[in-house]
Amino acid sequence: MAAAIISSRNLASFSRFLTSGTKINTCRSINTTHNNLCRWQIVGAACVTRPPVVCPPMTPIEQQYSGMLTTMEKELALKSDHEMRVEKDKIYKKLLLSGDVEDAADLDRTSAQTAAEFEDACTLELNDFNATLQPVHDRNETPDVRKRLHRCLERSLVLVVKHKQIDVQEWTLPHTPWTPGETLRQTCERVVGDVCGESLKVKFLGNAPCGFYKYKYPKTIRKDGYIGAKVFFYKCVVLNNKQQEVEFGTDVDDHQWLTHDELKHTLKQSYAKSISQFLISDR
Amino acid sequence: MSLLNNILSSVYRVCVPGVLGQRNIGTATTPLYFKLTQVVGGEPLKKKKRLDPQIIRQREERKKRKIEKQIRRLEKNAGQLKPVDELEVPRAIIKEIDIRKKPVVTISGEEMDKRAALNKAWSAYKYQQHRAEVTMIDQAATARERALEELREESEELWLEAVQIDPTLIPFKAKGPVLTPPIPEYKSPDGEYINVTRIWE
Repeated sequence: MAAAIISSRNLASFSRFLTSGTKINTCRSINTTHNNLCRWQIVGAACVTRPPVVCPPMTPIEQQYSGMLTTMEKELALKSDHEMRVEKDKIYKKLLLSGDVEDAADLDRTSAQTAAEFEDACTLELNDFNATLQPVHDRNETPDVRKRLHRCLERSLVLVVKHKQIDVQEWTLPHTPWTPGETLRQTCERVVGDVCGESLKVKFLGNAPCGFYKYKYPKTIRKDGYIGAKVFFYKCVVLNNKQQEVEFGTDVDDHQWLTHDELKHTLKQSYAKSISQFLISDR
Repeated sequence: MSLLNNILSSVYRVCVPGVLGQRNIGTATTPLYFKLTQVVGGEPLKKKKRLDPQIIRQREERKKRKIEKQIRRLEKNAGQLKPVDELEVPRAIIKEIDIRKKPVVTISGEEMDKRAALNKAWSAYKYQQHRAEVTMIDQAATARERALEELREESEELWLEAVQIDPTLIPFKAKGPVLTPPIPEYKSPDGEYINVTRIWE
């Protein structure tokens, strides 16, 4: 009885296997015949992102909350060394005013600098340090600034380019058609190397495409029997965090490093939408 | 001398009694039938003392107890953790704790309400933030699934390549955003230093 059950189960799975196999086969045959009529060109596109360099400023609620935590901590804390010093200074001053110079001398004062002076010196040093920091955000941004990799340090940026060989000049992510013999990831690595040259070091995040976009070529420029392109996006992050700028290759007309908001306004709407599906927002 | 005598007697097999002025037993005959053996050069071997088995057992037990004691001592110390200087209140402050205490702040009811409201707003804010993050990750995962499906439709080989694990990403390291931007062309000081970390056994 048990053997019979097993065998029947085996038979069922076997038959399922057969049917699935035939399904794949029919798919294949359809695909190949389909391909002859209308083929899609496989295109790899690299989404080169620069992660944020500095933390974004606190939002109003974050500021409020952190302020509350600080006051609560101050309420519960013991007096610090500095607060003790401030108090000691006050007593010393009082004694001096009342004329008890001897008592004042009894108070051991380790240095001639008062606590207030020390505070002032610290504030000065902090201001000096803050002045040396480069501004995180340029107030008066010209379109030219968008070409710099080191802008909007608290946001993540995405590289968009204008390729030369394409007639329709539109901002896109750097892309190139897939050539037989390479994996799609290699296609994207190739396009990053072509566009940015040696000066930009990137790390690709995985072998799988992170997004997809499909569009049809206009009938006039359909070539090699392709009716359109299926674009597969691969995400990669910029590694060199030094201040050097990227030298771009000759096959791009123009380039920009854009924040996610700017992407929405610069790219074609449907294109921007498919990209926004896989971008990790920095807000 | 006796050695020499011995050699002589064995070589010549002649007895020269009294010639060398040594103690000798001679029979004045050749060949010599009497022969002096050399003195055995050592005292007789000591008889091995047979120990009482009870004593042996006692000794072993003593050894065992000693080791057990050591183990117990180690186990007792295992519970004691290395002191962390940063976590301990310095002695100077413990001494001055009375003069360092601040007057107790009484919080008004209004302020308490304000704080409670802020706490609520904060948890709502964090909840929204978390939800937004989860949806974002979901969205990205869906987009990737969709892309993989489309890729499989186009080419099975490319799909197979795409679903491989990327070993260079394990483990994945990323340096997060920092508070202040890096200073261009900053050369970090590189000098001698003294390691003051104490070693705890």
